Amino acid sequence: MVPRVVLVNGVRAARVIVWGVSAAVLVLVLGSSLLWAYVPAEQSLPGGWMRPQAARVFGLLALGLFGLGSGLPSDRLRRFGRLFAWAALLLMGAAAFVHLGIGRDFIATLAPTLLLQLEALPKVPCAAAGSLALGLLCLHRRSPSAGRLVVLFALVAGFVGLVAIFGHLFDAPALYFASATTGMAPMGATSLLLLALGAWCAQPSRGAFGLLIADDAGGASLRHLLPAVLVLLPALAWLRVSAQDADLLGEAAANALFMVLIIALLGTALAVDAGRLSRLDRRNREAAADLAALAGDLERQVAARTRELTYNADELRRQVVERQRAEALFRGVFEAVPDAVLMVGPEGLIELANRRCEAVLGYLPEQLLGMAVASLVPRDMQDNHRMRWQRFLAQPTPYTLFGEAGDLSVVRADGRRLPVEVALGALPGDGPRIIVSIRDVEARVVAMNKAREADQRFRAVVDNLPIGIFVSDDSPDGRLLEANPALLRILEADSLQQVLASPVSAFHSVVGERSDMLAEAHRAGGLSCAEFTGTTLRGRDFAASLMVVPRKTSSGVVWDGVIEDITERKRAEQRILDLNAALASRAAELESTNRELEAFSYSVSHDLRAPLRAIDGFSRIIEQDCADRLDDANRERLSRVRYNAQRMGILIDDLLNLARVTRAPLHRRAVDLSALATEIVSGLREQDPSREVDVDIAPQLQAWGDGPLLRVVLVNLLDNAWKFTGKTAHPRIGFACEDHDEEPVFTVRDNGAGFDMAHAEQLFGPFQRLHASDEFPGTGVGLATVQRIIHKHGGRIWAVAQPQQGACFSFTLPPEAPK
Amino acid sequence: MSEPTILLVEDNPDDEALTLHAFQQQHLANRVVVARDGVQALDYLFARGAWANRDLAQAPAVVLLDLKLPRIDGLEVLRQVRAHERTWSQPVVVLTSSAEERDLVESYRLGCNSYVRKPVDFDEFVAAAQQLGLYWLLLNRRP
Repeated sequence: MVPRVVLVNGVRAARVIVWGVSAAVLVLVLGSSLLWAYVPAEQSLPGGWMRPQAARVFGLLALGLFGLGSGLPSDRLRRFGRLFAWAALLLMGAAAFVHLGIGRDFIATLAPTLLLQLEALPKVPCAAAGSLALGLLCLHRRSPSAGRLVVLFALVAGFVGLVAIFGHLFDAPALYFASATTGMAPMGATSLLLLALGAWCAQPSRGAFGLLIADDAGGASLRHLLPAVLVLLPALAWLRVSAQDADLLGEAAANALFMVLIIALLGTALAVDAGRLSRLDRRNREAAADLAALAGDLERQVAARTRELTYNADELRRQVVERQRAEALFRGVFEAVPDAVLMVGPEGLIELANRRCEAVLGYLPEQLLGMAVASLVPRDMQDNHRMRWQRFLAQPTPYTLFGEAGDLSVVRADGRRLPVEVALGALPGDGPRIIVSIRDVEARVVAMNKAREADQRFRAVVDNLPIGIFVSDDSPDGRLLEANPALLRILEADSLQQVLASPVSAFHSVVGERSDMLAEAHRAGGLSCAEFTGTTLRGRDFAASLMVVPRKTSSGVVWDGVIEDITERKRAEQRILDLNAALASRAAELESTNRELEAFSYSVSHDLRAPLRAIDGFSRIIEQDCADRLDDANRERLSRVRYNAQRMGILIDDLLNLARVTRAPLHRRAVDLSALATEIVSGLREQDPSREVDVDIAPQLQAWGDGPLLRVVLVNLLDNAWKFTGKTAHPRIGFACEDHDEEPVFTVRDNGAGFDMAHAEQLFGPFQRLHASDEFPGTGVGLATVQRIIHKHGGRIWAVAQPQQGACFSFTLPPEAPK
Repeated sequence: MSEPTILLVEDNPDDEALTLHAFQQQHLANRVVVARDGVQALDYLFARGAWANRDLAQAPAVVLLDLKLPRIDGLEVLRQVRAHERTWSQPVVVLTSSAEERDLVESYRLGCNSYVRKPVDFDEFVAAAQQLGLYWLLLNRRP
């Protein structure tokens, strides 16, 4: 259910509430003044303005209205009001009981003490006052139904009061409920009406009373017409009665005139009000039409404005997007560049820095904000920096580069100086903003320095080298573009200018050779070790070796070349060639000699022995066949012939052995020298079983060498030892190995004849003997052979001996070469 | 059937005389046939030239072959003997002055049955010759 909307004027409502309270106060004053006037007299009122009982009742009701209807938010006041309303209701209830005859005696005994004469209260006003008390109690509730009850109870009480008032006005006792003792006094009726209106006023926005204070046309009409009804009609009635009483008019005429006046006055009032309403309505209509027109207009404007706003919004959005894109672009570029980039304000303070600053300068971008850009400049560059900065501020350009030569540095956060290249650029806008882009060029500067050093080094090498180094152009006659000091020396020039001024062809002894060589260099893509005869500036010829390679430059091909004066080398080469030729012929001679030697030793092997055999053989035959005819002396001579022939045979064999040792290649392998020696000694024992020799051979002596040749070594040494101990009382022979400085030394030791160390040098020479052959037989070739074999192996051999004290032969053999 | 012979191939008359002397002591000298060079040796072995009438079935018990010979040398004689189907099994003992390794190796490579170096000492020489004669004439058997 939609609540009825009444346009209540707030100010007016407040004023109405004040009326209600004023009514209560008025009734209170009235009642109390009456009581003050009558109660001490204890008498009934003449003519009856208001009875004291009624005055008390109305006083209670007025106090109740004052408490409940004041509209004040004070809970104490409201409780107080409710108390008085209840008191009034109880009093009226008691009166009702008295009128109905219930408990009359009890009340009658109680009432005088309360100064009440309840039976004096008329029935109808008593009910009206009771209902008013109920209405006041309903004020306490704030629900809509309680509001309706307030209006209903106040209406009843007000109506009773109004009827009584009019009863007094028109002198109709029935209307003011007159009886013998009771009846409603005029003041009592007025008080009742006032209190009823007051109760109504206490809640102005509820019920029909709300219309009276409403702000709409209905409220206005009611406020216009109500005074007319309330004032005019009683006034007319009073006039009619007065006129009738004064006999000015008859009853019928008075009635008729009264009716006419009512019609005329009410009609006029209605017409006036209707006219006003009509005007109001017209105005309303016009206003509505205007409003409609305005609304249409407004709608159009709104639509246009909406379109405009939409467009603006789109534009704005587009601009925002554009701006965001531009900003993102700026940010992207700002952060993507490989350099540290700073934005610096006019005061030289850093306002913006990109992430690369951390890598280049060692500062976080946040750390740089607010820092003076000058604090990044090393102390010794401050003046220079200030000067450049001022010059730039005076004449800003979009891009100016400093430090290209590697002469600019910054001080990093860690204090290290970093060579940099700095680009400055001015930003357009209010107040100069300078973009400072700092590039780390340390690597480049280092490389540059290295390159410079390398360049100087190479320059020094080129200047220092004893060979001529040059660059020449590609022209037919040729011009030298560069030449080193060595070339000046080769060409016997006094100055570089002299060399550069002469055509290259002038340095060739043979006319036209230069162009031939140039053509060849073009064809082959360079020359390598090209030899020619050069001519110095002083006209001396020299042998030259030339090497050139082409190099492409922006101005065409040039030739980088090296030239060497090889006159000396040529001479040396010729000498070497001569020597080689001599050597070759010598080698051929040697080879043929060798071949002859080989043939010789072969024929020695075959042919030299045959005659010996013949000598020995026939001597032997003579010895046998002529045994009886030969005397002892001749037999002895024949024996000497045979002995010498046999000795010659042994000598030949030994010599052949020696020659074979020299010729034969070595076949090295592991050789068990102990086993070899044992085998040789047992051979010796077999040959000469009569001798008793103490032989001590150390076990497991291993060597690395040619087995058959090492056997020859041991055979000779042990044979010698065997032989030279032949005349010793207790012969001893030892074969062992001793370590000298971690090198194994093999020794063959005996206690035989020994020899004098004075002759030790001759010991290993061929045909050298230290003993007479009739004392100890031998050819003197064995030890020569032994030495040759040991030397061939890369070892050493030596002997230590003393006459009659024995000899010790020591030899070494190199160990197996690691593979 | 006559007794088997010994073919002595020797160009040196001294050596021939000494060898024969050695065999004489064993009474084998009458069995010795002497060839003074390689050609004569081959003529005998293949019954050619001066020896054309020789009975081929009567092969010598042993050939004592010197290496250094006029006309055709000992190694060539040995090669031809071993190459021929009739003589491939002929016992050949190289009897030489040479102590050269290459002669020894080459002789064995060509298939000599023995290699004996002539000693200078005549007593040793006689002993060697006698042992050879005894062995090849009396002990050895041929296919």
